[in-house]
Amino acid sequence: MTIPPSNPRLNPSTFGSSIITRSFSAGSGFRFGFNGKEKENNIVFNEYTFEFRIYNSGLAIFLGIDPLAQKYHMISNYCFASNSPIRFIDGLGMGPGDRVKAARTLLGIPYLQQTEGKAHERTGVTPEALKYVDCSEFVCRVLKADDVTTKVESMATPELKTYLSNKEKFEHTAPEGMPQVGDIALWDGHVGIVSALDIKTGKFKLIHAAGKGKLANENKFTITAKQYRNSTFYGFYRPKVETKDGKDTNRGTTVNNAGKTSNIETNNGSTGKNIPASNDTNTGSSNSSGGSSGNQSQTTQN
Amino acid sequence: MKIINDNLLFCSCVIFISACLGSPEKRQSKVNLVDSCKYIKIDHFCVEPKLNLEFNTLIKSYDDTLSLAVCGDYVYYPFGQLTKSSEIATSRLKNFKVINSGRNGELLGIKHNSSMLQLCFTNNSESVTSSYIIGGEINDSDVEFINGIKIGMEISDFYSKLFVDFPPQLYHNFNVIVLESCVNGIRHIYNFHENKLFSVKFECKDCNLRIER
Repeated sequence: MTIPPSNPRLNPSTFGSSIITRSFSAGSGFRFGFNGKEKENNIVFNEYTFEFRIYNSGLAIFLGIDPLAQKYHMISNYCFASNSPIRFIDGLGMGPGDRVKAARTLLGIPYLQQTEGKAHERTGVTPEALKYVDCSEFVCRVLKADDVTTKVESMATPELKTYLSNKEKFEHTAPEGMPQVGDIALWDGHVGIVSALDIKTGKFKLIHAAGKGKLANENKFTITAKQYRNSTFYGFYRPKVETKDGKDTNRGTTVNNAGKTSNIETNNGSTGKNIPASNDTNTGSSNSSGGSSGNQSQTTQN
Repeated sequence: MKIINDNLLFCSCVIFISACLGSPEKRQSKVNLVDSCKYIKIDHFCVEPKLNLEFNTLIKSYDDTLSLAVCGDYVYYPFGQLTKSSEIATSRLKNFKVINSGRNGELLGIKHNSSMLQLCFTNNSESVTSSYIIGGEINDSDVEFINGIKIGMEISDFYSKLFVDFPPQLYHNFNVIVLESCVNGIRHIYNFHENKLFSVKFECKDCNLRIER
C-alpha cells in the first residue's frame, strides 16, 4: 500500500510504526491507522487490530500465531507480510498474485501447438481457442489476464524472450538467481509461471503447458530449472511495475460458456500475510482447476 | 634437586599441553558427519539414494510402500532415451512388437509376451522430453531396464540399484516401491512378491493421450 506522504493522518514507516519526526493528533473519534485497521493504544502503543490477530507495528510482528500457520510453515508465523511489506501488502495491494491465479484457471487444458491455419486460436477467447494451449500461449494469456499486455499476444518463446528483455518494462533475474512467485521462467523452447519456491534452495514450482500429450499442470515438486528442461535457461522475468492484484483473472483465460470452472485460491488478506500461493510447497496438484482433466482425456484408436 | 624439579615441571607442562591439544582431535575423529541433504530417513535409518537418481522428495515410507520423487533420466527413460519410434528396434525394447498406434505414429502400443507399453513420441520443441511412457506393465524377466533392474530380481539387488548401502533391516518393510518423476507425473510402481520383483507398472498422471487396447 502506497500512502501519500501528504496525508497528515497516516505517515507510518513501511511496517506501520510512527515516524518520530512526524506527529499526528487524531480528531475526536477517529481510531484507524496503518492498513486502515483500528489502532489500539491500551496495551502497548502502536498496536493494530487486524481481523484475526493484533499487529504491533513497533516490533513489526503479529502478537498471535498465523491462523494459516500450517500452510505457510516455511516462514515465521508472526511476521507481517512475509517481512516484505513493500512486495506483499494486503488483499488490495500490488503484486504478482493475479498471474498465479490466472495460470491456475488454465490448469487441465490439453497441450497443442496451434500454428499456421489455426494461429488465430492462440489469441482468441472462444471455446475453440481455449480448447488447447501451448506453453507460450499459456503465458501470453496469463500476461493478458494480469493486464501486463492489453490483449492476448501471439508470441512463441523467441518472441517472448525479446518482449521480456525490454529492461524498461521488465526486471530480470539471472538463471542462478532466486526467483519470485509470479515470475515468468523462460527456457529455450519453454516457458511457465513460477507458483511457489523453496527459499533455501531456489528450487521452484511451475505452472505450465508441459508438452504434447500433457495437460497444463502445476508441478507437484519444487525442482531446479535444469530438472524442468535440459535446454538453455534464460532466467526469471517480472514486470517492473506490477499491476494491482484482485483483477478478474478469468479474462483471456476462460469463457463463460466453455463449461470450465475455476478454483481460485483467495488471498489471505485478513491475516496480513498476503502471499498468494507463495512459498507454499503444498499447493501442488491439489489446486488443479479446470476440473476437467478426466473429461479432456483423448482416446486415439488405430 | 632444583633441576630435577624444573624438569618434572617442564615434562608435566608438555604432557598437559599435548593432552589438551590432542584430545579434541581424537574426539572429533569419532564423529561421523552426515550431510542430511543427501539422505532419507526411513525408520531411523539414513538411506542414501544414488546420485544419478537425482532424489527430490520422500513422498511415503509406511504401510509396505516406499514412494520417492526423483528427477534423474532413469525415471523418464527406464529403457534408454528414444527420440523416434524407429529406434525401438535397436533399443532394449527390441523384442517388443508394435500392436497399435495413433496420431500418425506419435503414439505406439508395443507388446512382448505379457508385457505391454504405451509410448508417446514428440518432435515438438516445447515438450520437456522427446518421448515418454504413457502407461504399461512389465511382467517378463527378459525385459531389462537400463540400470539392470529386471523381473524376478531379489529385493536386495533392487535396492542396490537405487541406493548406496540400503540397510538390510529394511529389506522386508516394503513390497511396493514407487518412483515418481519430478515433472510430467510419470510413475514407476515396482511390486514385490516374496522378496522378488514381480511386476513393474507405469502410469502417467498428467497425460491426456491413450491408445485403446
